[in-house]
Amino acid sequence: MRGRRKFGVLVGVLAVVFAVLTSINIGQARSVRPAERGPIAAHSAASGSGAPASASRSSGTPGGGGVLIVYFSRSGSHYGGRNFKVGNTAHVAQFIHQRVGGDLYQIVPAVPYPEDYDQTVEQARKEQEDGVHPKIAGEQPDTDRYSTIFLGYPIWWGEQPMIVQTFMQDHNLNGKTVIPFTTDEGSGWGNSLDVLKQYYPQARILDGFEKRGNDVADDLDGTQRQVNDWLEGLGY
Amino acid sequence: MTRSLLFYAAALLFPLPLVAILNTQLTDAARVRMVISLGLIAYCWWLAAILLSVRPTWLDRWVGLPQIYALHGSLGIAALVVAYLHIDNNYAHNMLARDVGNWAFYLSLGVAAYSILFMSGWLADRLLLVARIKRGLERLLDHRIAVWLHRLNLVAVALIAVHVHLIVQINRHLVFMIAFDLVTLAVLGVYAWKKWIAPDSFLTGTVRENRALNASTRQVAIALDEPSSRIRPGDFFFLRFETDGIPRERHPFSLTGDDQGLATFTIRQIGDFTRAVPQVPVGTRSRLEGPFGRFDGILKETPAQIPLVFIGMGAGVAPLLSLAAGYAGDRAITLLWSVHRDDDAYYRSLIEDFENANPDRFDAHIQVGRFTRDRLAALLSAEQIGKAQFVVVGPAQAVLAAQRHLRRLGVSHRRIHHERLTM
Ligand SMILES: Cc1cc2nc3c(=O)[nH]c(=O)nc-3n(C[C@H](O)[C@H](O)[C@H](O)COP(=O)(O)O)c2cc1C
Repeated sequence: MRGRRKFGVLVGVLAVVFAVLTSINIGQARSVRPAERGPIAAHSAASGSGAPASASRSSGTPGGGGVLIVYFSRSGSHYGGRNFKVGNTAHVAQFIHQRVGGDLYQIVPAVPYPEDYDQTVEQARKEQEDGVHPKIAGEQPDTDRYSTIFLGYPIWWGEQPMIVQTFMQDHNLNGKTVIPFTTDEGSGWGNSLDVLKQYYPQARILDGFEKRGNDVADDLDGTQRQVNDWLEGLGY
Repeated sequence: MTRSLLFYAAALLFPLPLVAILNTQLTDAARVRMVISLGLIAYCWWLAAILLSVRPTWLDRWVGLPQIYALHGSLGIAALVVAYLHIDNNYAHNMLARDVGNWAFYLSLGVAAYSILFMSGWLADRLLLVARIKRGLERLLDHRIAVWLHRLNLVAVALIAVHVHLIVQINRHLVFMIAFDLVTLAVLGVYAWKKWIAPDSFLTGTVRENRALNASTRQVAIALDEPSSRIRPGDFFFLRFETDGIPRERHPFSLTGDDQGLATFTIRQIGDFTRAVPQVPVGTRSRLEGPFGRFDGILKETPAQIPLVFIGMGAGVAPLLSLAAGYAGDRAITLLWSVHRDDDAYYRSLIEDFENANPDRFDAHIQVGRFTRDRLAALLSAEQIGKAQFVVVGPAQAVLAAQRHLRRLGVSHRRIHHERLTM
């Protein structure tokens, strides 16, 4: 019968396609990195002399005590083929600094990320998948001296770049006020707030600031206004 | 009512199994999972729309082909909206994955815009301008090109499948990927089965008669190779003639009688296909997909003492004559038929035969020109307006107008059943 033979052919074709797809799938399936996160030691890394250059000139803050604005941002080629001298997150960090004062510290990797966007994306994925914590260049601030930490980062693969997680691992911010800010290209906060809570279950985490990176770059004045409104809402 | 709800719910929930599997595999934050799930929901709705396009006859008997097509179109559009939210709130690391996904979206968007205007009756049945453009385009574009354009949606679905396979955060979840591939292949398999295998089991027959009823209408009778007890009065088939003089496409036509061995169709010649019908010689082999139709099911559920009113416009009288053949004598039937010109009333003597055979249970009015509300008010009794079941068939705009008149006269929309001859 014609129908039955065609049916056999159809089932055969589907089975072959399925077999091919499944073998591709198996090839792609990789073990997912276990999520073990938290600062390594209670007080760690650079303490003492590591205060950044700018003197503390913090105004009165809701958290009390000094304010430290920590951020990581990448200049160079960006999403959508754009190129920035100053990274998107860096702009936001500066706006916060202009309003709040305090100390500004930029996380700089000991080995810079590639200029090329795609290469950075690939390296970031590997770091995250393998749980690699890249080294930070230079001295780090003594976070014990601050009660409020603004923590800024771009979203990479849905969370904080591993270089930021190096900082988070090195500094125990439990018990402090932590205020996140981020720029992204669509993921919003992604998983980064969960990650933050995993590192610092005992921190007081306030409502953060999030904006699309390209929107920051396209409208710096508007962004600054939004940052100020947000800070005002927090009591700054 | 409950049937339609069940039907719609089933389609809406079709993405659920895959979405559940994906969400058990992903460890991401709720928002991230939601944005990814939106993409998956859109994809599954497109798959569901493909499944509906297969138009199984059992589903037609259950909810009716118009509902099937309405859901098919609604799912396609809802999927676009959801896909847009997915794209707008997501970030793609892999530029290729992003581009492939975007191509799929724009392809679907284009096909949807085109289909809403020119394939569905949503706009063309209601807006004169759209109807004009549609007619003009039909003259330029072969019907088959239109159908092939619509099938670009299959390309879009394939692109989305590639897109999913390219995303590392997704493709490393083996269980999900296998389930995803299985569902995709099952749906494409059903589609392929429908295109290449199912036609082998359609009803077949031979053209016994092909004659002109007037200058623009023909009657074609097909003797089925085997009588089919599934044929009910008022049903329609998608017909295809296996001969070179006419495009090898399937087009829907209503039965004019209720014979289960000889299927008679009334074909008004308005498009490429129907204009070629005179070239179909007696003896031509033909394939009939169907039967489709809900009228008989509805009338069967109607208590015998409830009067029936059939309103036909032009060739729309065909299924009403089929219903008349099935129900005359058993039910009180009023048939109202409006025709364009006097010589369009080609079934006058057939209708008189029904009247003569059932002097007090069948009466008919044939008129030249449309039924106005006043005319309907004069023709219908208070009992009919208050109780009767109405069956209205004709060109889309005429049906919509008649439905409006009936509702204004006080006929509840639940008692108005209709078929629009768009195509
Ligand atoms: C390695 C890498 C990974 C990224 N992953 C994401 C992501 O998962 N979700 C997202 O929305 N944006 C992602 N982006 C885009 C950045 O978050 C966005 O461009 C951000 O504004 C960059 O900030 P910066 O200029 O301060 O570095 C990624 C960018 C890079 C370079």
